Amino acid sequence: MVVWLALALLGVANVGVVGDFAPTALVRVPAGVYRPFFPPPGGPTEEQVPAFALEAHAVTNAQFLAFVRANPQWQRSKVPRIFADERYLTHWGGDLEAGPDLADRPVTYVSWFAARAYAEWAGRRLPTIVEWERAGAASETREDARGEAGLRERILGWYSRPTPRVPPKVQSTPANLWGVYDLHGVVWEWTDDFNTLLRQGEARGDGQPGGGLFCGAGSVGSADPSDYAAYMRFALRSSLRGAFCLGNLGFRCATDVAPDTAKGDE
Amino acid sequence: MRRHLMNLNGPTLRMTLGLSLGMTLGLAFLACGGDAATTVGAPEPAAVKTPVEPYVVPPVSTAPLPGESLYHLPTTWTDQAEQTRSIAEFRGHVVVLAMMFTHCDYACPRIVADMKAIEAGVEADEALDVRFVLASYDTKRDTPETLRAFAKDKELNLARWTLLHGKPEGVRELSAAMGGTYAENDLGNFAHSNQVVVLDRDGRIVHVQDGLGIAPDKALAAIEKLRR
Repeated sequence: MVVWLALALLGVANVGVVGDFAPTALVRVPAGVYRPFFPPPGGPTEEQVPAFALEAHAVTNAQFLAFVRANPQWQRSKVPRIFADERYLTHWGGDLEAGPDLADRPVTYVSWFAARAYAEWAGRRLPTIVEWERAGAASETREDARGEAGLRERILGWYSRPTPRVPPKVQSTPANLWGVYDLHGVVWEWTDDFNTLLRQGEARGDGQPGGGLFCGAGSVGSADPSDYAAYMRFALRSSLRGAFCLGNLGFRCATDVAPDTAKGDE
Repeated sequence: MRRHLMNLNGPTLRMTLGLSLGMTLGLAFLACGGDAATTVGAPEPAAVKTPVEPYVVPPVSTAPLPGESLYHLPTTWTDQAEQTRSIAEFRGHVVVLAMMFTHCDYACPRIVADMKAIEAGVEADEALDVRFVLASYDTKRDTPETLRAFAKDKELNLARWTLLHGKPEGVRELSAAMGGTYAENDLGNFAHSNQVVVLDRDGRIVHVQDGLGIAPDKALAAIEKLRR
């Protein structure tokens, strides 16, 4: 409760600082276990994820507009190429023209650098892959629904549809157990550590071509080859570069939370 | 002197560089012959008389950084001499840059060896004035002191080499800007892509050397194009 009060106050402070900007409500994802899709070789196949808070929906065009208004260096005509490719906010009419029909749709055509800058400005951060996957594993009723045919089919159904010209509005899919919307079914999302995925095997002589391009313990073998949806997400993340801007790739922010001892996380 | 150099037209400038280069090589041969060491601050050898003034690195451009420049990265680092550094300080130099960590006993020594192979191709060439920068992934263990010991162990010439200790945010941003990947494992070691990049004088990546044990030819060709 105290945590929530503090978070709420933080939110209010943000509104005060930046005028018409309203940050997305945060929802709490309690500490729990995540089974990495690509566990480290010889390492644990389960990972403890501390409690964290995640924005209930993706950052919208309206929210991102408030950010670029307050931070002109992130406007379309001013951003350095190293931070965002030429598709950055290409769907907007201009530096400060997000378009009214886009207001409550997830902002896309944003780079990782831009997403990070937004999060920092909002006093938050991007979620890690582990956090995102932990939140994304939940269905409406279960904490870890990855084995459930229902959730898997729904996700793959979304993956198999062509990207619409404009993404659906935020909160257009049901909230999951934690109260998080749209982790599957609206846009793909950046994670803070997207570039931690190594695309090759162990460099120390596993005989794969290109083995010399990478060093060390990044060798991967997926935990659940049948989890094709997770494979798709990891494939996308590992193909990204920090400046890439895609029409179906947005983001949401996260924050740390103090462990909730009263509830006894687990 | 600066005005003097800037007023020279193209052919004259090239000739100046040529003569200056010849002079530099001459000095290098003298040094190899066991003559006086060319330490900083030593009196100029009286034997060298030339009508041409020695090469001076032109002033750093004050034009806005090009959009593709790595030098837009805002984070600061600490170097092996405990000095706070921004990578933008390397503007004006040709830079050979890689990321590594000193506890790595496999790939990172080879990355450094590959960079030294590039260094061997340019060290006699003052006109290029190349700088070599190693940024560490290991924000916990690679303290300036550790980096200093590493530089000594690898016999890195600190007049040309800079080793950087960073914060996690800065490491992640630099890696992303270079197009690299890395991950920390349970033991605090890092799996990482092996890249050596060449930056032009404004911090743009003009060459990426992917992998280990790569011959320096292509990197040297990329550097040669940056000669002014």
